[in-house]
Amino acid sequence: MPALEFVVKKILHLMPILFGFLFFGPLFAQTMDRLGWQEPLGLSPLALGLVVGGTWGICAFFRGSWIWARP
Amino acid sequence: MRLFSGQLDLGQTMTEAELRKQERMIARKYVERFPLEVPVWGLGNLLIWLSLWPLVFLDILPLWIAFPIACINVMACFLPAHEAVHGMIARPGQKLRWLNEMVGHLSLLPMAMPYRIQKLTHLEHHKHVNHPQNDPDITTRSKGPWDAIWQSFVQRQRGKGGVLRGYGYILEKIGRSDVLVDGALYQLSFFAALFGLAWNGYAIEAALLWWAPRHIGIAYIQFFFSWAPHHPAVKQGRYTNAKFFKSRVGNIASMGMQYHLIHHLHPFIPLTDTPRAFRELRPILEARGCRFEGDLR
Repeated sequence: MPALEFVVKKILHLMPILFGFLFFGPLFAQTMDRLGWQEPLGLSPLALGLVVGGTWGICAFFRGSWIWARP
Repeated sequence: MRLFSGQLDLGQTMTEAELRKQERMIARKYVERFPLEVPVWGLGNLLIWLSLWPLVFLDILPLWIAFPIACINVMACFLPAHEAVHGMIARPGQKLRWLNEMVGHLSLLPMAMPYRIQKLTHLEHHKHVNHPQNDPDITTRSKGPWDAIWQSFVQRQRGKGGVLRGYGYILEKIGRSDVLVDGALYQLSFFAALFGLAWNGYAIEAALLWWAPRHIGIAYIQFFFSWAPHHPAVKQGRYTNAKFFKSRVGNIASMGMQYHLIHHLHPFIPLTDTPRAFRELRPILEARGCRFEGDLR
């Protein structure tokens, strides 16, 4: 089943990176907004959220874990 | 002590065949009832969870109230589907089989878990309880309660195969890797929904109504449904692969799993009837050498 293989191998394989950027990024940004943090570190909340979320996602991708314990 | 006296009473007066016959007679009494609570619970729980979204988006319900409700929804969504796995509403070929399957599929939505994968792997669990290679739930085996909770989060990390860890191996083994497509589609849909909500300004709502409740709920389900009744998950005998235990949080909060061995012995007895079945079967269970922890009544 080529379509399924593509989905599993490509999209789901890269999911930690996607999740870091596409979910944690805006989540951190909106959390900072709610907390009233304007321009943290001179960046917009979304830019900082994407940096933090994306970095975490990339780390999770290479380590195979979102938490400090390595499976 | 009661275990010993029970063994003496029945073990000395009844033969193996008589014990088995008596056990079947008692179990049969609970099998025929139509468990109305299962579709009401499964579909009602789903409706409550779905209703949280517009209630929160329209600022009718505060998120800090909706979050614990969503957690309870995820925790509660598993058992109706589990009843459906065993055909509790209707067996194959029966008139209401469609309802059975509908409850199975729909009630698991808050957990983003495909029913077909749950069904096939759970039936394998029943066939191979506590088997190190063939029980798909053996991954919940751990040293103690805190370790069980911690391992639930560690084991679902990507390096361990994610939430469906171990299930792919079992499905391939039984020749049903075709249903893995359900898992891929569910995961894609789940993530796509989270991303869509997040980029439309609802990231916190998505996190507290679905993402976090799902993680908390899965840990809770794995703890009470899988770890607690089977710990230490070593024995594989019909009467010893699970135990009867008195839960500190009560029967409802522990998902009715104090009586889990009744379910393994007679999977067609509805969950809400297992305490009564246990009380009636207890002398036989004691004679069979089942494990009892605490003063369970």
